Amino acid sequence: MTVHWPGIKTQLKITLLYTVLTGATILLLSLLVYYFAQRLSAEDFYKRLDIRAVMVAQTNYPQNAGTSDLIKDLRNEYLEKLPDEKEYFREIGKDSERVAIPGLSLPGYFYDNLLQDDKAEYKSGDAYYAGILHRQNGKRIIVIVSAQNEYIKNQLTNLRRILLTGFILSTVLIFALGWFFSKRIFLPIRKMTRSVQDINTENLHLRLNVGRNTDEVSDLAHTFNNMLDRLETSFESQNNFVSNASHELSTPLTSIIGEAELALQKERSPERYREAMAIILKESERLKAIIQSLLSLAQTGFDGKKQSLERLRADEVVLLAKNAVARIYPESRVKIDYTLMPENEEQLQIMGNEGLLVLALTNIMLNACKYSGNKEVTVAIASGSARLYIIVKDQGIGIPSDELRYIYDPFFRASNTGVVKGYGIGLPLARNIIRIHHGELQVTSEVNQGTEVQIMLPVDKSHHH
Amino acid sequence: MKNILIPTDFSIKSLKLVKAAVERFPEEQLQITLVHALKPDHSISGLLMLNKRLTVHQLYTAEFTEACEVLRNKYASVLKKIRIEFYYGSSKSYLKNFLEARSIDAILLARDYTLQPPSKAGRDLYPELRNSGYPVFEEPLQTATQRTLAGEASLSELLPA
Repeated sequence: MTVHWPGIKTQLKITLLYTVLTGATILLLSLLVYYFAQRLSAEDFYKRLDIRAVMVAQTNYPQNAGTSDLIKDLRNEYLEKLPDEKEYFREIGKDSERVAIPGLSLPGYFYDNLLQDDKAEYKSGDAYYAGILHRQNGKRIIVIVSAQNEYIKNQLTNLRRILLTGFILSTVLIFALGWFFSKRIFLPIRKMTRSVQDINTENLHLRLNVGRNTDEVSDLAHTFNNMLDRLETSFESQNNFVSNASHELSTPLTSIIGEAELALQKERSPERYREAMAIILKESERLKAIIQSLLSLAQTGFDGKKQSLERLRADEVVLLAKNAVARIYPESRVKIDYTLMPENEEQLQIMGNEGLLVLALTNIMLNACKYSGNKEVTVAIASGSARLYIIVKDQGIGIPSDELRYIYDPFFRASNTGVVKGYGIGLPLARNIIRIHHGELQVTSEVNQGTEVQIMLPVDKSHHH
Repeated sequence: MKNILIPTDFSIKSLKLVKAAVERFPEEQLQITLVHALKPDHSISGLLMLNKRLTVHQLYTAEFTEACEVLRNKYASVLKKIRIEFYYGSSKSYLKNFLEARSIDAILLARDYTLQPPSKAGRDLYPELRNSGYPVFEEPLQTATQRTLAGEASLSELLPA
């Protein structure tokens, strides 16, 4: 079995790239150091040769009698003998035809430079040549001194070795450090990959740990979570439709079938038939209304188009939801409480998708009606400093306090729901929709006292003057 | 413009008196001072460091200020301001000065609710205010007999029972 180690490829790639870049920089630096060291030492050596050439000239063609010996003594005493040191001189006439010193294979340009600048330098292998043009009483003398640059050769070899070793060692070190750091950088991403792998349709409510930082990794986690919110919402809204349809439709269907069967059991009076038909008609109309409102709820926001946000008035959304609830449960009693309504309608503006918000509110209100045996449900709207509050309060059976934390898990149903039918989809769906709108959902409940759902949505202040 | 003083224990319930004030003085611009009375700290460290004064703002919650904001939005046209103040005095003249400095026009008290200050240092200002000589109106708070579902910190405390 091969171990799949996600991220290793990118990690290696990054480490290698980092190593190559840093290694190249170090190599360039080493080459520069070597080049300049070599140039400097060559210049230095030519200077030493120059001095010797001048001394050779002064010894052999002295300005005054006697200086020749003095200079010779000076030279022997204070100037060390260079390895393989040789000296050549030749007097040349006015014509610059025959200047080359026999026995020395120096290129022509060396002599050209010498005649032009009074000095010239040349290097062949490890042998260095320095020449000067000495003028003495109208005579011109070419003096050339050559020597092996042993000492500096050793120094440069040493430098080369140091630089090479340093380059190799630092490259290894950089690779190790790069590996370590890229591993650290990719650690959160590997973790994220593992947790994303755990998420499938069975546990779509799981979310990634975003952490406190605001770096790219937590941005990525945020993006993933947003995507999961939307995915889960669309997934659930379809489940929601199926579950709602399957049990909201069964009540009117049962009464239609029952009424029809009863009417058909035996011969009945025309009035009785008419009565049965009237009941069937009424129930069919109710069925139609339920199907229509469920379909419109299921379609909203997920008709293949992008979920568009628009400016909405919260009270209008609440009213739409109330009407949808009234169509599905004609006997429900939803009261909108305006006691906390803000005076200024700007405070009621929210950015949102109308269909989705109505779907969320309808689900919450349907739950409130369903689990309170159609007792009165109050829906209050309030607006704080930057948030809009919609409070849905019922006097129903409530949720046991130790089960409150499971209410957002899909398909969870509280232990006290009893005969009330449901699939545990409405509330998770509502929570997701609220989350997509950057809002919050808070549920507080007490068994047999009722449940209070508080929806908080950000007030849209973009159009404030 | 009327300046109204309302003692508070920083429960959202007690803010119902703001609503009562608006209803008592219709067509009036109101500025409301919510006052919370604290026993002065006589301990040496308290006198030196004034630490109680520094921590008083932890006595009320974000939900409380948000509830104030909800009321401001609800009565935006008449309610000019809701201010939170702390009262450390214990003498009658201190109270008089306190009320005068804020040019208080009326005091609203809850008839059917006893303040439950969140800290030990809190104290009941009702008897002193009743004897202050200022117009005092006692309003029913109409709180539910049992505690509301969401507990003390919910906006739904402001809804009629």
